[in-house]
Amino acid sequence: MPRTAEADPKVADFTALFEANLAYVWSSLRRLGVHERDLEDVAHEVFLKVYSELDRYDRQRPIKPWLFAFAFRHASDYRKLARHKTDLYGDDDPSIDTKGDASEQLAQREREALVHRALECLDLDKRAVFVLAELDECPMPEVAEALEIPLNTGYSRLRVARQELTAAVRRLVAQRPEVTRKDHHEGGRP
Amino acid sequence: MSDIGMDELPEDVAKLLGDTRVVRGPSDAIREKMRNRLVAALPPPPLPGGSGGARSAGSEAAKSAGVSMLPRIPIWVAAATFVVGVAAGTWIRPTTGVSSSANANANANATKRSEPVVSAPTVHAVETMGTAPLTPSDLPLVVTQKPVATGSATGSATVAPRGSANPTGDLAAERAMLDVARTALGRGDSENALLATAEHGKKFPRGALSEEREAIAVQALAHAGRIEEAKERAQRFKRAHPESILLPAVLAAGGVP
Repeated sequence: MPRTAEADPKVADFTALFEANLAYVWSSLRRLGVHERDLEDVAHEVFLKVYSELDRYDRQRPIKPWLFAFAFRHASDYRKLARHKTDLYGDDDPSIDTKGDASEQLAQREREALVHRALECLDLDKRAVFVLAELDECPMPEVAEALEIPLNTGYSRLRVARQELTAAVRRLVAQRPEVTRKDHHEGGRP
Repeated sequence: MSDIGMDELPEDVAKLLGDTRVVRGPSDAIREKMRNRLVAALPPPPLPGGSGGARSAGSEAAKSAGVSMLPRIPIWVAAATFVVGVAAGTWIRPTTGVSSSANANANANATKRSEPVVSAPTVHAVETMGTAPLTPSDLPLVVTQKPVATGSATGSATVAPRGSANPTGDLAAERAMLDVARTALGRGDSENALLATAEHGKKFPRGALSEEREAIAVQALAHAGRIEEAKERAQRFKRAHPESILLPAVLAAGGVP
């Protein structure tokens, strides 16, 4: 029998969490290398797992690193499948919001794609640290706790990730068309 | 983010990252679809007396011990489901009418011991489970008993199903309950698989599908890292169902040689 939020407080709690954090989980999975076409299925699995562990969540702690840990584990499993090891960004077709400035949105997507490609050059462990620390701006102790790694390992991975990502961005910018290079040198602003 | 003593990102790269800090979720349509799909997939509420933390602790123990049952689950699921189907067919057949020739055969053989019929399930029966592809040689042979007909003055045939007298509605309820267990096990949720098998055991202690229930329970215990319990239950299964088609898989899951 399907469960409803009205009849079950845990389901109500969970659906509220889902609504508030779907975008974050979605973006995190994307940043961790899950292909656009698989995001819905992988996010579904992540939230099912979140539901099963919901009783263990310490509400005094920030929710995002906790959720990121689920996303990281599922992304890790996802990427172990051979069919996901290549072509991760080969056929993206993100929709463009026709209400806004389409050219600016395209440029924005270009920059995002550039960052995603650069992230792809990092191994998943370093990538996870980098995403949590640099993009989500989590303090390193929270990063280390979420990913269950020693604090020093977290700092070490972040340092190497910064170096590798910078090198990857430089390399990718040099290979891409003028418009991207222009955006990049202008700091991503038109 | 700034960390003392660490290499900072160059300014241009840091600005580039700034643009990608904005999180972007799916469209409203996908969001709604996901919400509905999730709510429909949520496991049933735990039964009274269920243990909340046992599964997680067990799973961790299983992981640390290098025990991974997941690769075996699809074949299990296929085999168990097929047997459930066979059992259901065995039960439903007499209720849907028996032809006069069948009646005649039944009467003729009423005093004879039924002979086992060995048949292989069709590939379709397994494919519909959505499991890993199997070759025909992977498919288990299923031994079914022809119904033991008890002749009567009117020539009608009745079949004694496994377990207690069990109306078709109960069988459907049993199947539904075990479907929940099987689905939970299929996605690695041994806690809810065990809860569902416990509920089945409570409602149908001698049900027609008790064999399947026990098989799923052993698998779920093993998956949860409760190795000793899995072993003990597998041994009980062996004693209770020495001829079961599920026995090899149950023994393997329970670590019984």
